[in-house]
Amino acid sequence: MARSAVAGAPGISRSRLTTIMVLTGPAYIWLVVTVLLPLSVMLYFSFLSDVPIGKRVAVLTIENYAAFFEKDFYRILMLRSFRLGAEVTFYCFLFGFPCAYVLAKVIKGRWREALFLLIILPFWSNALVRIFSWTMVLRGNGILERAVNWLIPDFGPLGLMFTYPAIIVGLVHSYIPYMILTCYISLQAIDDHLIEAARSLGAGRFTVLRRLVLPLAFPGILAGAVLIFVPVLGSFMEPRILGGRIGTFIGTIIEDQFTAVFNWPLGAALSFIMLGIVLLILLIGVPAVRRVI
Amino acid sequence: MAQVTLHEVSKVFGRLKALDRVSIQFEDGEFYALLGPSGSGKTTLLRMIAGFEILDSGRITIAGEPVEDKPVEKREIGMVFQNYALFPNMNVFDNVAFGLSVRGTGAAETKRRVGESLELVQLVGLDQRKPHQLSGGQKQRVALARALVTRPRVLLLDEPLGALDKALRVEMQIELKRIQRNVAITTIFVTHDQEEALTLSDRIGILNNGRLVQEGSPHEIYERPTSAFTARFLGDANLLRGTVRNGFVELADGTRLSSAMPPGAEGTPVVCAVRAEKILLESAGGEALGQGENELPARVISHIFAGSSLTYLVGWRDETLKVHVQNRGFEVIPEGAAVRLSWPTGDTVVVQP
Amino acid sequence: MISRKHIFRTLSFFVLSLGLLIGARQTFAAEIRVLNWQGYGTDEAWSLEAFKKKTGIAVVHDYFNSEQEMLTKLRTNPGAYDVVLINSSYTRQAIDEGLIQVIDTSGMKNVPDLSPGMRNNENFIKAGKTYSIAWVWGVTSFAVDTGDFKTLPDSIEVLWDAKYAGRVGWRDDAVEAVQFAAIATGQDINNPADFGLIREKLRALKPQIRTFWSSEDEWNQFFSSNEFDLATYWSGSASRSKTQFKLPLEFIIPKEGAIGWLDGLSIATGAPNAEGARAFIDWMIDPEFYVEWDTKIGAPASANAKANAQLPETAFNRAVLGNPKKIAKVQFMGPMSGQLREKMLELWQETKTYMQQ
Repeated sequence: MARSAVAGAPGISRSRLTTIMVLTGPAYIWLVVTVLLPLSVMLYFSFLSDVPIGKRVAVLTIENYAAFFEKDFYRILMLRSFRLGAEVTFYCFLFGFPCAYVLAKVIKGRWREALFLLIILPFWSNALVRIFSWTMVLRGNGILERAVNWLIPDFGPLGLMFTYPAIIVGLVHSYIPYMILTCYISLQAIDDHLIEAARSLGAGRFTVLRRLVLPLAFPGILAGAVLIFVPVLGSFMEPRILGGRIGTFIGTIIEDQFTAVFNWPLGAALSFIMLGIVLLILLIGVPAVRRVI
Repeated sequence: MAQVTLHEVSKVFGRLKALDRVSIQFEDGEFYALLGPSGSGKTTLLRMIAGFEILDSGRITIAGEPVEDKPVEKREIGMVFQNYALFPNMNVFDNVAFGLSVRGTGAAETKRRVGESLELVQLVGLDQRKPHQLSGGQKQRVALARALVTRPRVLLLDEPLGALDKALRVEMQIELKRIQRNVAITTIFVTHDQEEALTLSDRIGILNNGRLVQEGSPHEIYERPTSAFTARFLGDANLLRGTVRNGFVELADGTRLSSAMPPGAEGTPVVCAVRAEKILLESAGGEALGQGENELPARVISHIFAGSSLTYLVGWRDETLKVHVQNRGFEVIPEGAAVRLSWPTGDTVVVQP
Repeated sequence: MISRKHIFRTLSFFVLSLGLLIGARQTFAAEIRVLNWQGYGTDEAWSLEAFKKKTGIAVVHDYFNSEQEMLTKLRTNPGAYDVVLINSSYTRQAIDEGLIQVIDTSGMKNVPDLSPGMRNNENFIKAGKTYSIAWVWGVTSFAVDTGDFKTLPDSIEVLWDAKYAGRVGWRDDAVEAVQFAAIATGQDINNPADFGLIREKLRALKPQIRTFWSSEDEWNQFFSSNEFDLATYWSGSASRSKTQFKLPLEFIIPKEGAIGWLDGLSIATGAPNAEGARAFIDWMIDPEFYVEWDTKIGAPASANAKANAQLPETAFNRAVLGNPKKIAKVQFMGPMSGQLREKMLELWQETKTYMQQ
């Protein structure tokens, strides 16, 4: 094999390098074209006064970013969206982690596959269909209310539809598989002997969980949290359908900039402000949690 | 007073009898090795004492109290695993201190005892290192320190030296022995390596197919195996089948062997075991032997040079026998040469087939 | 081993085939491409079949979910569309941006039958040239559940009536919301003078609204599961919900007035098949198509008065919208500047935030 003088790649032959580039190239090109490029364009737009298409004139300005600080309701909605994201992520962890633990450590063999299937089942259906099925369950005179009234006659309306809890329920249901799967991967990588060693040293189940399992599963938990937190932040469909009047979040506002008016710069600016806050949270939050664990 | 007792312990996995009525009494402070081939049930037994497996029948007591219903964390044991099982998210100090922190030991006391423990295993100064920064031998010592720091009643070791290379293993064997003597803790050690068992233990229990085949001091077991299996498992033994005739063991070709042990009833088929290193190999046609000697004619098939010793493979009738000869610089006896094997009757051991 | 020559060859192959595919689509003869809302008349299967039989032209559709999306698609895909549906309040903007072309109406046999007022709507004509053919129109007002209303209300204030607190459905659209408030406060819907009044009126909706709806389908679902007793709605959709889905509703045009809208069909600049586009638009305002559409499926009112008159007497579009007295106070949506729209949007977003607290 021909040895080449490729800097920084000691001992990699030319043909090997070409193979690597051909195999990974398409993926990177895809990423650049579909993610990096559009995002860069949007970042540029966010600093313009208008979209530079046709006869429109655009000048550089930070007006769009300033608008976020000028108007109260942007900030209020942004905070509400972050709160929604945090709550949904928390509940996904609360219910998803034990489920992942049972799958990884307790259940063996065929049952594990069957349960996996059940967990991934929501993914098989369209998100919109899932949310609408929840409306059928939660709404007035829906499945849940009818069941309760059948069990306890004259219980009356449950009043679950178009409430904040309804939004949480719908979102947790949609996103919990992410948490279960990422936690499962982390958990099943934990050697059983580690847990046995901890127990042999006198640690009860809870101590084992707190001092050994959770720290070791942290990468999986973090991955799941990010996979859930970020999309929920920008979600507008589920909150609208399940939340009704109170279902307005920052995602709605950003969408409106693109669908109700032709104000892409403002939409882009709001999106990047959101992105900035998320990055800040990750930058500060993750090391902080790591230290505690 | 015995520290750990197993009484008629049995365990079944599906249709497989992993342990069949095993009874052992581990003396306080002794180093006991559970020896046997894979699948013999020795690891299952160890894990049962620890509490990771539940017995189907029988009793286990530690310091006199039955522990079958006690969860692992309450049995006050220390355990060392084959792959060390050090907690990757903690450094050496925290790993060793784990058992103490679980018991709520104060910071000063913890520091002192961890220091003691690490000194005991001769691993001072590596407190802040993480497990992945340690060598195999170092990990082994940390695992040991961690298990001992809580002053457990029993120390259980599950093939702890299996992952080490030969030189390190020998070194660690010596270390282990020294530490165990120092702490004087009842130690139960599982291994499939007979040399290791012979070197380290005060007593050995041999397990095969879930049964305790023989138990005793290394010397006892080695020199006086009670079964063909034990004879074969420890060292190299030649097995000769014959029938009892007039107090002798008569082999198929008429050769008579005498043994220091009573061979049994007249006419019963028996097996004689003769250790390879006990046999004297000479060219055929030497001086006549004295009273207390057995002999067998054979022909050299080949030899294996192992540095300090030489192993001859000789053929007698259609069997291949082994003879270990110490390397004293004698000339190697060539292939095909006729030779005479001789050994003292005391070294003819009658065993169960 | 993969050689550079090999990579180059593979890439060129892909590029070429892609080019051929694109080219092939462009040169497909006897076809027109239509851009519209989904399920809004132009894509009725039976009508497209009849059209193909008459003219031999196949019709391919693309859809949008908002007017802004429609404009964006025109801006970023010149030459991709033939016929496009544009609401009259956006037509002026489309003309000014050069997105649609002049239509030669000679030879279009149904155009003379269009109601003069709609045919000559100021948004459709520029410098004496026609840029859009008036197609269908309707009214945005509200519909009530006949089960909850013994006597039908005649005032828009019923939406703010405390009796129906938490029982009102509302469309989440900034312009529409502001315009409802404008009508309720007696202002011009295309240029409200007092935004302060509008703000108060919108905020007063907080206790009233149960949920927002954004599509006809959602409206039907919420209505039939009894989530709201009355809700804002479009006349055409109301007619459909009543006829096709048999929902017990009545569409109300209150005395204060309602929001009128007019949709026109235009031909995009650089359309590959302008001839076919004209033929299709002519078919869309043809009574033969319209009567079938409204009676079988339900539709807004036709801008072709002759077609409207051919509907059965009890048909909503003929009985109500064909009645000049009833529609006297209807204000038609007109063009609005981008700034005005953004101002309305901001106000509405602020109101929605207020409604959550």
